[in-house]
Amino acid sequence: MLMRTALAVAILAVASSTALACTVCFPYPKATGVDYLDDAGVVVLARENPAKRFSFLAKQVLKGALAVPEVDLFLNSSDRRKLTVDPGRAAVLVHGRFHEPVSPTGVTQDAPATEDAAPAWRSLGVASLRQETLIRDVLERLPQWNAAANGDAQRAAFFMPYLADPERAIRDLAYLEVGQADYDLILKADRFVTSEEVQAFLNDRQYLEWHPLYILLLGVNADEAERAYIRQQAQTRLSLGQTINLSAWITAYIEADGETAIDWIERTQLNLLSASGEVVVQIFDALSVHGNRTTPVLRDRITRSYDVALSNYPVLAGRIAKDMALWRDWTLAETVRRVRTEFADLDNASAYAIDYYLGSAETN
Amino acid sequence: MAHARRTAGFAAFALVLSLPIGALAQEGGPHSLVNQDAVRDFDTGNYSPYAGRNYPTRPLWGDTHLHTSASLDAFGFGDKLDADAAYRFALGEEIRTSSGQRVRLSRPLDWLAIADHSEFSGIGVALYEGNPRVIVDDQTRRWNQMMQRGGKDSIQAVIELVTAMGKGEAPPVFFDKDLGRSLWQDHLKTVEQYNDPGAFTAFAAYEWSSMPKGDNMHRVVIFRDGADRVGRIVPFSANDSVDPEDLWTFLESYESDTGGSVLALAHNGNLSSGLMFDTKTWTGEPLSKDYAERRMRWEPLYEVTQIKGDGEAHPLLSPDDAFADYETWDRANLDMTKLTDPATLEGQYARSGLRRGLELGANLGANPFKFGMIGSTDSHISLAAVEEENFLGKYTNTEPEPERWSHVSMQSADGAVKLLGWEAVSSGYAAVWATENTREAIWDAMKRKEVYATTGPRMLVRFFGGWDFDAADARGRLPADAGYAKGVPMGGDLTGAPDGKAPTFLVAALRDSYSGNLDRIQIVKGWLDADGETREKVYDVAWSGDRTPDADGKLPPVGNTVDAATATWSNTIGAPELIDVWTDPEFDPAQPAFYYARVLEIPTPRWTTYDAVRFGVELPPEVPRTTQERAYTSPIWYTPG
Repeated sequence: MLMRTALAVAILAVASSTALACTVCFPYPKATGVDYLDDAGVVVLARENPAKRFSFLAKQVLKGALAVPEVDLFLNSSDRRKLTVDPGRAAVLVHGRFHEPVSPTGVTQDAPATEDAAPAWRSLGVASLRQETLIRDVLERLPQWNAAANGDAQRAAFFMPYLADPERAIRDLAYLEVGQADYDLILKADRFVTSEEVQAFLNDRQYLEWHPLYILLLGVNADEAERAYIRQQAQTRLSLGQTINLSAWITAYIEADGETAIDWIERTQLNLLSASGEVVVQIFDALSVHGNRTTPVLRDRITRSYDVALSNYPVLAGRIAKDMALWRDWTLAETVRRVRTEFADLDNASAYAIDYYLGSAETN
Repeated sequence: MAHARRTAGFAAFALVLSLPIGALAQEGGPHSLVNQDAVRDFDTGNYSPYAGRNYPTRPLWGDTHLHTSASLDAFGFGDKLDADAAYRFALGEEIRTSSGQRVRLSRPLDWLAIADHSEFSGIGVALYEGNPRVIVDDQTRRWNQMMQRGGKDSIQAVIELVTAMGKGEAPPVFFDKDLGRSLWQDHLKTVEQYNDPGAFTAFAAYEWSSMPKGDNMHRVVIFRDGADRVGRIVPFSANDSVDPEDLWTFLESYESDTGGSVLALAHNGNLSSGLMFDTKTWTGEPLSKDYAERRMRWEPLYEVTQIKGDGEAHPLLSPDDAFADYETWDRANLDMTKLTDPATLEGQYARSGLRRGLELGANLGANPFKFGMIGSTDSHISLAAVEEENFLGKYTNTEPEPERWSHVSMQSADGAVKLLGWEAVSSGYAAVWATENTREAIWDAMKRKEVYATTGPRMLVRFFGGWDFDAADARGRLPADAGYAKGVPMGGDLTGAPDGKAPTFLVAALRDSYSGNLDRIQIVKGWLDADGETREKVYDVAWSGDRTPDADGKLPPVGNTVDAATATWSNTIGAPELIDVWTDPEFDPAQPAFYYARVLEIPTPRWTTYDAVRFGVELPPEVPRTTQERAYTSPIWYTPG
């Protein structure tokens, strides 16, 4: 089972905070079609079984081996219609141990596959010829992506051009794939999407939970008008305590305005005690993304904000300690130690991160 | 041919066609031919053959299931139209949609049941308007301010609002019963304002929106009464319970506390994962006689067709029915978290539900699924408009515009399954054979199941069952006179077959003057055989033209005049009216059965074809260019004596 490791903090933090039973928007999946292809033992192209209507007959095996071509999986009427009107098309079926989506939150698990689930077939839908070509390409590349140290980055980079694909299904797949990349890599996707496309996507309220990637791209090479727009969005949300996609807006705000943005956030949020726990966590997520960049030009400034945050929001201590240990920066050790002593309600993970940081600080 | 068809061959028909639709729909109107045989049951003491007539003479058209901006999801999508606008539109007035388009119905409706979701009904609008009973804390005040700012702030507020509810973190005031009563009473004032006995009926109604684990169990609740009684309750909601039996208990309390009358009707079994016509209760208990009797007391009707799919039959369950695959939505449950398991299909479709009802009835001593059938829109834009050439969408984001066919309307949680805008069904309406246009008369007709569904057109359909109908009954211009005199109408019961007799059915259909001619009338029979297994068969009983069934009894298709390039068709095929008497050729008096009529129009352009022409867009090949609109009558049941 593939366990993807290079997950963009900004994206996932946002998605997990808003992936709710929302009747007017679509949940943001945590597993992509490529994950299903990767986790499946068998992948086939199939059409309706003429001997058993509303079920499948495999026409071509793309991955693994198949004992019998009959696939006992329900072929829904919509896909059946697509197959009927176009004899050249086929459904993509995968066989593996897959999670079922969880209701009522409508959120899939962190990875599509699980050892607990019974082996079963699942349809990824009827593919267009372009989708079929893409799937073949992906299946060919997956072993290499899985073996390479930077395979996840290769995989995300592969999908970037598909962000501009004319087919919605391919664009959505690319969006999910690129959305799982590191922030530094995500920023390189900017050249594949126009400002108009970004704005159009952000205006689609049904895809609200999907917005974060394009919010991040909005901040890349932003012109003055775009910077003003991002600033207004982030500041309004922070002022009103609106948490949906907040960390993405703050990340883009910092990308666009740099230290000036952090100054504003520190002055209006971290220096005060009025921000909600959910808001300060999302502020932290955005700061952390920038602090963890390959070339972390804002890290010193972020460290100072962490210091302020520790005083007013000790609930962040574990997260901050984890970043500081990663950065091997021990300047906040005394502040963290004080929080450890004075703040009794730390969860186990935070306590562990703090103790690790303080222990490392002593030996360095 | 065992059952000779009769198509319109009446000399006066050209005259009738020239009349306004109102006159066309009036059976026995001044331009009708009156067969002397057909009036034999009139009171011969009167010269006028219509004196003393006490049966309904024309179907009253309406929608039991319309949402306005008071429904939180409709409001969330941007519906700005309230109940007032919904009624004005239903009455035939031209109004503007939420997106600003001028729209109007082809002709008014006769009645309307606005059925907003009872869960947080009216809360969104109250927040927006700054209702002081709702704006009670910082959170509600902030949402109000964001909504007032409009634009993306407003959208953000709605998303936050819905998200808070999804997380179970809605402000406590939203659950306040006094607030709920107050908003409900405000709504009832509008209902009363538009209720005009004899001319237009406005029902007090709402939708109980139970959806455990994403499986649709929704019921629309319709009251026979006015605000004096209905205003004494707060609508029961899924916040109170998601179990339909608890809803029935509430309805029972309503009747005993107020002396009023109420019924409920379910819809979209196709999105229920089989719960709709399940063989066990929602809590997992086997069905009992008490359950069956309660269900049929409170749920005499089922909404068989609407925008989210037609639910009469599924082609996998009815492989011999060439017309079973009509606008089938069978991908998943309502929130698309559970893909369809074919093992649950029997619990999802009306025909299989009716069959299952026969079996359960034999075992329990009461049939829990003995329902009549209506269609309705489930529109969430305050506009009950489902004619193909006038389909205004499900939500505001699918109001007419060039790309609405490609909008992702629903999507599975993993993103793999997408339901696109073109898959919306422009359907349906409810036709009620009521004696007058009043709440009481229409509701009573619903209760006795003298109703039928259509997928949008307003074709006139009569369906009677008895033991003595003969060909002469189909020759007159007053089939209803013979129908009521010699049998029972749709929704009725036949019991204890006389010796040596098989049930006979008088069935008649007259096309909608705005729509296509008729292809055929079919009678769908379901029965419980000697082995205790349910079976079904579809009989062609009347059809247009000189077609002849083949050796297998299959009637050739009627043809197709649709020009998709121009979204036009001609009534050069089909028949304006069909009528016949049919006798069940395979009747066994020991076997319980049901019979209902299905009336098919000739192919006409589907709404997407009108869009393609009007907007100049190209549709993918899987989008059907044509549709065969239809009507489904409520069944007539036969029970052995």
